[in-house]
Amino acid sequence: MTSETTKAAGTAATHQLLVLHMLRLGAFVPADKLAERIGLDAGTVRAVLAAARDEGLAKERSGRISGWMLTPAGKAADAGLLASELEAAGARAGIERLYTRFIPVNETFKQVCTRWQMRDMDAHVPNDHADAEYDAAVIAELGEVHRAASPLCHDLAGVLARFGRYSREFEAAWQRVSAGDRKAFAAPMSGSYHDLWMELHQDLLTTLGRDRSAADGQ
Amino acid sequence: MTDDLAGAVYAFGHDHGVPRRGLGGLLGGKGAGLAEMTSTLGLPVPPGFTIAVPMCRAYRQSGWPAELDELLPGHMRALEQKMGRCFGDAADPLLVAVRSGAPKSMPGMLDSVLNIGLNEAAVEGLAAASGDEGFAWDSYRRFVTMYATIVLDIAHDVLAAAGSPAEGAAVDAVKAQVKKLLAAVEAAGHRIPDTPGEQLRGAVEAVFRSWDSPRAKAYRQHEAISEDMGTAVNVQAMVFGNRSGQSGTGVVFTRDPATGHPEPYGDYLWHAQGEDVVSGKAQTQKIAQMAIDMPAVYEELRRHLARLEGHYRDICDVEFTIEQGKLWILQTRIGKRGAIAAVRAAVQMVSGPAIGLTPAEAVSRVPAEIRARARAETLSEARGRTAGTGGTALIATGLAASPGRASGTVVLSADAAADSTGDVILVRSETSTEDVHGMSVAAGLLTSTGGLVSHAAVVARGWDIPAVVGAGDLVIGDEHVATREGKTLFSAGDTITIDGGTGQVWLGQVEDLGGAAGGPADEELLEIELPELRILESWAAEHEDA
Repeated sequence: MTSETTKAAGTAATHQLLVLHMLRLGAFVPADKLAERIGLDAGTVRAVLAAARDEGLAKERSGRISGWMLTPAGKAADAGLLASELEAAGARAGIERLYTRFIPVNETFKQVCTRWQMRDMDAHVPNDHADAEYDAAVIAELGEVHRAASPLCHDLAGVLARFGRYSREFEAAWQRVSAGDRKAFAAPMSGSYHDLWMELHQDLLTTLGRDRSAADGQ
Repeated sequence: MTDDLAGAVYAFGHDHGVPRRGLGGLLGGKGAGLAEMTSTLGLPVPPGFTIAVPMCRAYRQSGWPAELDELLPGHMRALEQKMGRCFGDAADPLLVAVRSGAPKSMPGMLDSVLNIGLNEAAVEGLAAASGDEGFAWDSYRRFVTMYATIVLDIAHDVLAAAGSPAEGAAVDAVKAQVKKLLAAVEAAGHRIPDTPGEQLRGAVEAVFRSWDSPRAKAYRQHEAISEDMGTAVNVQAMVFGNRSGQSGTGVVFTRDPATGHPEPYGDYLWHAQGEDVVSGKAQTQKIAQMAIDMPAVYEELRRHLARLEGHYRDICDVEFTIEQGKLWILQTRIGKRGAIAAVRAAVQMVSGPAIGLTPAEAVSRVPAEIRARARAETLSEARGRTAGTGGTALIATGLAASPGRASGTVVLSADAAADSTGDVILVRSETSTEDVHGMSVAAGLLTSTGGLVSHAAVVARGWDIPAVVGAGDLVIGDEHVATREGKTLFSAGDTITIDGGTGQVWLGQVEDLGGAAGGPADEELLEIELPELRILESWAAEHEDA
């Protein structure tokens, strides 16, 4: 009985962490999309969101951008949940080590994205994608990044299970790029490889409490 | 259709008796290009040979063609002689790259395998010859990974169990990982052949097979390319710019791609491989410095650049490597250029005797929209300089991350952007994933941190919105933006203008900057900054009406 209660409370806390943190990483996500990305059913997610709104942690807004977002209090709550998660799982050293592995790949990846978009940064020459060989070379470079990212995501999931979704999502984006979908490389807010990468970067920073705006409580 | 396979492997320098540019159907696009560079242009291209497209067709019909077993050894021997290195040599091994090259471009869809010829003995030879053990073992690691996944079709996650060392890891860590990778390959019931000949066959066969991979099929369907076409396979000696002695690598344009000025423009890097130059990992040198460091090689490079421009009658973009004092040209293509460079170069190519472009050709290469862009950019730069020296309106300068000019009301958070109406400029110290949503409704982005390759810059370019990043003199607060000394420059709700092509930030709406009383008129400025534009416009008036 006691253990059941503890377990239920534990599950509720996990759900709250997953939902708030997903909002932290991808604000303005519609509830259904949010549920799909973190692998919870939509009913649970809506209940967690409603509770978060009542506690002043999240708000649903309309206007030029619509959807759910965290309030400053919600960001602080997310930071707190992440910190206790890290401690309970004894995961700090593991994530720290993998973050150190992420950094050099991140530098390479941002360069690759820039080459995908620009033929010559100094001369402001955009990549018009008319030169198939150039594009192929940049896609091959993304392949190298993907080959480095796959084991990294695998290892992250080994330390904290919630990182497990990145392997699937990166693989899906890479398959789209491979199949000739140009938007899947770096088009914003489209589930592109760059979208996911930026999210993973922020996830690592927030998880380790290094995110400046989270620390400031902004 | 039956193809004659008896001679269907050709050295890059083979005399086909017809112009090589038209041989794409036989040699594939890449193979025809390599043949043209080697023979017609006489460029020092790393030697190699092309397994012609009919071999792939034969393979798809009835398996590995016996003709290849007869032809490959002879071509490899010729390659060894040209390079003065032996395939599989434990002292200084010849390594080859095996690359696909179909008659129709299928970017990234077909496979390639690099560093073929490495094994436990040859990796030590490469370490000794390059004087860089870390590089040799990393090359071996890449080879094992590529061979396992591409040739042996072992899933990435099987290999992922072996982990991957951090970039710049100690040699011992890379060695240990290669051992783990080889063990993972063995555990999967496979083996990477030790003899380079077997490795070569495996790689060639893998390229043939990749023609029928699901993604290649999907791409062909999408692009309406025939299923029966098949691909050529190019086997080419690998050269290394990171060997000992006078070695390096670089990228050079025959003319400056930003301004069009007729001087070689580019960068190079000593003791480096190609990716090091483009990745910006290391500090590169301007190409002019090469005239001082290695005058003979620089002169040879200039000769090739002139030859290429004369041949293609256009700006070319050339990748080269110097291996122990020997210059190799790896790739050339028509160089991409900005609008201003397009105008200037086209007019100069008509005036100069070397290329002899006709005015009609010049006009067709620089259509009206490019001329309009050149005009706008020239004026924007000239006016920007005027504003900069005047010092009244210009309040900050950052990095030009995404070109274009935008004016709007300042918003300091994604939330405020959501509440806004009309054009807004999102101003942030740094951008988080939440700000991406703010950017989605903004006319422009200004940040005080971050570089040209930051996530924010990638997103801004992805949406084509002007962005100035890393304006480090700005301190961005919740309500106000101030100088480092604490003087408020502007606040939420004020109007600012940013220019993502120059990195400049002005207070107020400044699209008509400098056009007011006292400043030079547009046409006067253009005549000083880009006189070629007026000439080109006069040719356009003659030829576009006709």
